[in-house]
Amino acid sequence: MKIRNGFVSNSSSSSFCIYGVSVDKSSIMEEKTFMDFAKKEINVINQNDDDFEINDEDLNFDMINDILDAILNDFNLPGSYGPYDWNTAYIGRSWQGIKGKETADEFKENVQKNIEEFFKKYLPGIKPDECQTHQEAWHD
Amino acid sequence: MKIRNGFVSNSSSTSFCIYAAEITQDEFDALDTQEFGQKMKELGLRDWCSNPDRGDNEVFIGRSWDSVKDDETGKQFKESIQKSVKELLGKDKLEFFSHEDSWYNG
Repeated sequence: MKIRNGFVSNSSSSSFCIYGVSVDKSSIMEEKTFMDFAKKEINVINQNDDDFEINDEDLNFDMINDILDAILNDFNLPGSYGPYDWNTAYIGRSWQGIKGKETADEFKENVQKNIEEFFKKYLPGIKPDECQTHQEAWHD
Repeated sequence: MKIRNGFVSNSSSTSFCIYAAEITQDEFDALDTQEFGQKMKELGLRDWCSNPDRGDNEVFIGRSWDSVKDDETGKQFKESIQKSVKELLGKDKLEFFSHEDSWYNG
């Protein structure tokens, strides 16, 4: 699909329009299942650095962003996290990603199903909100 | 469809995510009569301007991606926009694409 992204040149604005859920970043950071997995992955990534040591108190959302992204991609749910100072992460799929033979109803059902599977496996302590369309724009 | 628009409070941002054809602002101004507006409404289309502060000269005519009907497929959505925009503009050769834009209004 041809997508033109026309973000402004004289400022740094970003936007997205997805069908999915919003989750507090702090809630994700409190989920033991996910954080244990993330810490293991961070250790694997840094295994060649002898001085690397991970401390729970040093962990922040930016450190786990890429790991969360990789997991969400496996569930076909590219995440959008909003501005860095926001405490909200958005998990879902862009409306532009609807397939040619997929109806909007099927698209929504598929996203809902993938979100439920993701939360069940990695964020079992969080009950996801009802899916809806989230459209966000911000100026960095 | 329920849509949550979450523009950040500390700025005035504009954004859209659409499937549309592009024409110039001058072409649009020449067409932009009350009758044209009514026809566009009847066809379920709307227009979006590119960022005026950027000096762009484009108008997009189509539908927002979040307006896909529940029983409509992605293919049907695109085909219906292509048909409607071609009918509206009386042109057969138009390029359609997904366009995502956002800007800061200051």
